[in-house]
Amino acid sequence: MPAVTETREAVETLGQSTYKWGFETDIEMDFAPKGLSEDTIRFISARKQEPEWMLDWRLQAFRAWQAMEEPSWQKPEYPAIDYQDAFYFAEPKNKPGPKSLDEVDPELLRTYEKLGIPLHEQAILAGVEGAGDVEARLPVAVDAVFDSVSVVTTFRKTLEEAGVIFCPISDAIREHPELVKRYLGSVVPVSDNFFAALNSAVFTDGSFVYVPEGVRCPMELSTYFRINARNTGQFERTLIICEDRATVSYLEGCTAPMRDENQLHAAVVELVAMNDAKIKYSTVQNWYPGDENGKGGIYNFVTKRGACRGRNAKISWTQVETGSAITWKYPSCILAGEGSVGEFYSVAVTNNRQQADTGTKMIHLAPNTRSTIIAKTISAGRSDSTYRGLVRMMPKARGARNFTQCDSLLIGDQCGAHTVPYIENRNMTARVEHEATTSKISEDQLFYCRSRGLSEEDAVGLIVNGFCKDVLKELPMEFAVEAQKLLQLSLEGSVG
Amino acid sequence: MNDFLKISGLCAQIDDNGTPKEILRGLDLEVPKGEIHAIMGPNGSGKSTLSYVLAGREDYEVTGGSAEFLGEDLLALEPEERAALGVFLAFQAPIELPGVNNANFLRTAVNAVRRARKEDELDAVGFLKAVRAETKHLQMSDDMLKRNVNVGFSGGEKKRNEVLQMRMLRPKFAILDETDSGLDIDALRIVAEGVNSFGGRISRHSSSPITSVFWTTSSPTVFTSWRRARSSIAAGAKWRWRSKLRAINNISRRWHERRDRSFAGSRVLSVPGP
Repeated sequence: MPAVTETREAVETLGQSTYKWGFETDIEMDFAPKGLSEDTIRFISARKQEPEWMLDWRLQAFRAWQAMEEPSWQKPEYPAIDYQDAFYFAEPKNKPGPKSLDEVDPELLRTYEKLGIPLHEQAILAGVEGAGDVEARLPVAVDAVFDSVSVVTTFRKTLEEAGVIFCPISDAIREHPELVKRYLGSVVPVSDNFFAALNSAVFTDGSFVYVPEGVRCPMELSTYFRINARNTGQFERTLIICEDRATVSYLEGCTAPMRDENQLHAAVVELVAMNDAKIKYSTVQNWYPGDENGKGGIYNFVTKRGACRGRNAKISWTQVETGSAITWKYPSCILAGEGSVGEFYSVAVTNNRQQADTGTKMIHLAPNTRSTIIAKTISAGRSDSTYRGLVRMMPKARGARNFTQCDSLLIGDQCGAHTVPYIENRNMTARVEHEATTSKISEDQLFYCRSRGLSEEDAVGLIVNGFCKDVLKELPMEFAVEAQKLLQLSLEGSVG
Repeated sequence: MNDFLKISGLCAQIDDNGTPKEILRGLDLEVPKGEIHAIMGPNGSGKSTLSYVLAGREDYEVTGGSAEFLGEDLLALEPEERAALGVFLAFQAPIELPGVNNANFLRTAVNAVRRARKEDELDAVGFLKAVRAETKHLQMSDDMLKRNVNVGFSGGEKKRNEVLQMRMLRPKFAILDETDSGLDIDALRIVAEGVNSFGGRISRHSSSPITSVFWTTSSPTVFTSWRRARSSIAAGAKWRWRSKLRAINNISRRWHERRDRSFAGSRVLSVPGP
């Protein structure tokens, strides 16, 4: 299997591998004043040149947030976060747009290089004028969110021709206010939960996607998030709308440099699918997980929710979570359209001291709605992993069906795996199935592989990838290989 | 002088619920290259232990003695290093790997071994060609390559799969741990021919040393010329635990005849005289 070979090489080049993406870029930054107040929010809104209604929306969210308490029902434990001791806005100083790559901040280019982004794409990302026109052949459009500002969006032109809008959400607020007004906060209301309210108040950037009626988005859309500056929270906001019979596949990848302090990442993602629309949202998350002793790392507290508003709409979440000190999120589907489909495919890997509490919510409102949940958790080291999922069949969900499968794989004897399924059925014709297994990688399996010439790490990689196959096959091709490598890297040193 | 495989005074024990249980008590054995040895003995006599110790399983603690293979201290090597050097163990009870595609597993293994041996890796096409030839030989369906490693395989399919792995990995020294057990006559014939023609192919078409085979079995009836097979052990080995090994003299004549028919012309069944 070539992926395994490549992984081996990757591991070798890393030596005693630590966090591969743990570099820090020294770029001049503009910060908002530290701390969180109405002034901070006014500052952000002003810097983003937002219209008045947007500022009001933010302030409303901020007031809701002030009245809320931080939730404490989750499994992961973390020290109290001081919300006044962080920056809420940081922006690379480099405006207006450069004319060629030579004019771009070399530090920024070096960052892109380390991320493995090819030169021509670097040019596009760095906002070199005209660079986007030449490279329209590439199949993936990238929107890089470097701290709080989406540096530039590639392929906007190609997409525009198809009628697709793919741009930073701050642009969308200015350029497509009617769409943003109609949909922003319609799936995740500002007062939905503590972290969503915080995000609504201070979100600085993120992506906006609008696919008009009958359009099949001509390329995979991809966003690259990266937290760079110290003590900044990344509060991005993503909004994806698919009109009738429209289709889109969207991928986000996340990294952050190594830092001793913990950084908060509280994003909100909202998806809206109308009649016969299909949205596929894939996440490969490898935020810095902290060191072996649990020092540093990202707190990844994210609210992701999709609404199938039309008939036979479909929303599919696929996530590969290998990073973050704490992952705490439940990408969910509200199945409001008759016959609509929700899917959730998840791989969560925890190693060392990482904690993950993740799963999904499938809310069946309409008749003949269907949902599938495949969740795989892999725990190694002294980590702890929880699947927490809710399947709710409402009274009108005639003939609705759900199938849930939760599998846990343990490596070593100091880690934990927990499965917490909540099932609420209020319609007698609805069917809910739940299957769960827990297993360990056995000595027998390792020895069997090694006696065939595989190294211990290759053997673990093979077994883990086999375990996750049902989920990995849901990822877009290009990213499936990447995800396999990531799995192996994050589990390195977990055996023997 | 024999520099192929030389085992001297090998002692090994296993942890039996906290108390060490000695299983091998000073085994001496020499295997020259190109020989086929049958290791016979009743259950619990240490046949599988010997196989595991040679392949490098960690549960077994070697408490004394040595094993040299091609001039190297075999016992100091990791299991994967032994595989690269040319040791292969066909498991008595092959292990299931859920979710791991059989062809993928085989290719990963073949290329891992080829890399270690400084040979070119096989690309997908080359691999498929090689494996198709072998599955045809072993009368395995392509379907078995698509399934997950040993998951849902019948007993016979598992054993055939082990022989397939052996042929693809091209070992110099193969240990077949009870590869005959649980097979019906037809399957046994196919498996035996797979082992047999493997040794022959290596010797005819390549300059690499002729593979030696250890075949452990609790029913020596597999070997039609089992007397000769046994005598080869007697000549090459001193089993200190011979008392445990029981020569099985009263083989049913009828069985013997049936095996004879099934194995006509199969060289694996006799000890090749150099």
